[in-house]
Amino acid sequence: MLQIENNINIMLFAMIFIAIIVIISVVVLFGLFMSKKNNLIKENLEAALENQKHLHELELKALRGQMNPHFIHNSLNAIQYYVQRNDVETSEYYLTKFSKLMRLFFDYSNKQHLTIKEEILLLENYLQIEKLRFEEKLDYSIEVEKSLDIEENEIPSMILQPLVENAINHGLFHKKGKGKVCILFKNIGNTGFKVQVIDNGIGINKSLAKNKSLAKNKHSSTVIEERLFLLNESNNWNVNYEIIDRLLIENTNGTKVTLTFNKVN
Amino acid sequence: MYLQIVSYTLIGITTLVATFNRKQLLKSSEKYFLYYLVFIVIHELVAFIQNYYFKISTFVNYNIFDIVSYSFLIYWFYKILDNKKTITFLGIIYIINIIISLIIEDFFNSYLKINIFGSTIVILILTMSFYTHLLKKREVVSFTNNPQFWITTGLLIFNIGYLPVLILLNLSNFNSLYVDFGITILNILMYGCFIKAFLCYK
Repeated sequence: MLQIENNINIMLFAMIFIAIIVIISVVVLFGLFMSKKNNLIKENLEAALENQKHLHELELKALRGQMNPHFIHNSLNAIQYYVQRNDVETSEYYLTKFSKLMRLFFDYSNKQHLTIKEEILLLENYLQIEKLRFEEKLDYSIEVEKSLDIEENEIPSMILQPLVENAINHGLFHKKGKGKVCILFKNIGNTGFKVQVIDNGIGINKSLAKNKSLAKNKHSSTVIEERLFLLNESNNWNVNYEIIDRLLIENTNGTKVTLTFNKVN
Repeated sequence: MYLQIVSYTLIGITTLVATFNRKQLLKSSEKYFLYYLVFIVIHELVAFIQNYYFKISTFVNYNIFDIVSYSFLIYWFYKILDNKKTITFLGIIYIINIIISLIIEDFFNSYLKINIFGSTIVILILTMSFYTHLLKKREVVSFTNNPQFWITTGLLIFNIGYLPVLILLNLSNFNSLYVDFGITILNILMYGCFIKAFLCYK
């Protein structure tokens, strides 16, 4: 009898001991994993915040790029030219365009996304000012596929203007004779849309060779690429960027830049 | 008998859950668990009939079952872990352990305790290795949705509890009912974890 009671006591003790071991193991295990999980989530959040901050900095840089002093100086010089010629009507027309463009730059710089319609408005204003400077040497067109809803579809704000500026300043500027920039908006179904900036300038390869220093161009291209990288990283957009020298593929001069936008839900 | 019913029910439920989620399960590295569970069901059924109706000893059945089970678990860890050399080394120790156990103990008339003891330690080392491996990966963020985590946790709970039971069994001649009760509780926890693991495939 005593032996049985003794056995029961030892067994009870053993069971409690086992239960304690199991509980401690599970608690330690889950504690460790939860702590690691929280640390990783914190790190991810910090990285996301850092990316967001970087994105804002780049957006600001992009804005500064768009508002570059050369552009302002050249535009004002062109307006001044019409003023000196006493062409009040034309100078007034372009001054209004210029002021509207400045206004749009400031308004849109606060927005992360614009409708395609707003982006086109900005591009038109910008191209009209550039046309004032280049006169007959510059021709442009903006074409939108009918099936693409430009009032509904959104695009990262002011992402196209630097590409158009590159096409004019590095593609068409060096071209002898008339140059043309064509901006095409194409629908690629429910997933998104495609934008192509096509010029018939000297082509990216010749342009790169011509401007060996290219400090400014390199800088703006890097800003565009970094901005696209961060947009992809943000998980809101999937943007594909492709730049080709048309001479290599279409046997004609110029550069074709293609941006494919897919909004991630 | 009641404890056996609880264990059989649990094994049955776990097999059913694995079968219902077989589409996803068969695409994963845990695909062999479905066959392993079917093997357990068949083994338990055979052992029950053999013992209950024919009164034949089930030592051989359980000794074979233990060897197959631990071999399978070591193979599974080998498949999912990166440090193959360490696992191969542990596998070799495991094989030596089986050989020693077969030489020293009576395969036909007793349980291979040395084999069970050594295998339990090997499995515990492998579970620790798995946790270290998982903690280094980004998947740790969603570890509660990781089937491998739950399977390993089930194995950890069972083996960490089973080890003292084995030691105590060797120290005294306990009433087997208490041991069975302890093992049933550990089985409930282990198969509970397995069920949670297979539900992760939903």
